[in-house]
Amino acid sequence: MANLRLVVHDRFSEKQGDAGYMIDRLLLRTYSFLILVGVIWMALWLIGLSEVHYATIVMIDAGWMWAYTAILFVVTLRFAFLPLARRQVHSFVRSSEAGEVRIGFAAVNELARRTASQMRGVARLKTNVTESPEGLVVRLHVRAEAGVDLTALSEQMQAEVARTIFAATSLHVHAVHVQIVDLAPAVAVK
Amino acid sequence: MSNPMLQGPDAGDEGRGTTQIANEVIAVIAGLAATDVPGVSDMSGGVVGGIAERLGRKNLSKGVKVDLSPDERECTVELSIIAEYGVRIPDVASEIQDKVKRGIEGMTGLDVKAVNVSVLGIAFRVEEREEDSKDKSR
Repeated sequence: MANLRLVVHDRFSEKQGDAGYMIDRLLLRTYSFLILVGVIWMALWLIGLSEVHYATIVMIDAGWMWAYTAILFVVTLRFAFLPLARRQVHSFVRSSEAGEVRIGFAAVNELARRTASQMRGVARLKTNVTESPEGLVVRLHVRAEAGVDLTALSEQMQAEVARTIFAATSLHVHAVHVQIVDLAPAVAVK
Repeated sequence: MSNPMLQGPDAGDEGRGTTQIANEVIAVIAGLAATDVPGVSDMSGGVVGGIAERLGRKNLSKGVKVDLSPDERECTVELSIIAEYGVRIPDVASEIQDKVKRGIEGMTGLDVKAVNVSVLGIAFRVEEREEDSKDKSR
């Protein structure tokens, strides 16, 4: 892939979601709701509806008031002192006149995982994709099925993963390292 | 949100007025053009977008961000997609860039400075997943 470079960029978060971003949005809505409840409660007293205001104090258990205060305190700390979650995305980027094409690490990782896991003899699989000066390096941690020719399986995985990634992305795969970490027990035949 | 002002050639003399196009509309045009490209499984709207869709809100601008230039005559479009398994991603991305550029320029008159495509995931057909789970259970 010509003019290829690896970049780490902030994924724009206005319309994208990830775990940290979603949690922050949820906290913000919770915070807004709690503030609104507090404002309404104080407003009841200010506008002269003190009977309603005091009635709520009597009705609400002290435990609930403590819970309200604690949640408000924690969420305030979150927004006051910790930076909002931003996700950084590792991507392979190719620039052209039309713009940039960024292929995320996650996409390449998924290609490798999918290709390798489809092979007969693979019980379970973990993949890891990294980048080296010579090209991509893919690491496969495999739990193989019992009775499988592990050497043949490994060679097949190396060839297929490299071929699939290159065909899909034009990214050169420098090496596919296969580590057989475990053997799945043979399934009992009735 | 700033809006591009598109004026007809004689708008000043004949008082035809101005046309404003919201960023959201440009994003929808881009989103529709992109999802029309073979090899694009979905736009990547993330978890929040997914929840919104499950609640019945179709988001046609999901995964699209539009940045207008200060003079509001040109724009840069950022798209995030999920590609289908088995397609050649650079070719799909190139076609997306072309279609989005032509779509926006044709419908709005804006110049498209760049279309940046981020491929954030790969989608696999449901049949393939079901076959896999059957194979594993044997």
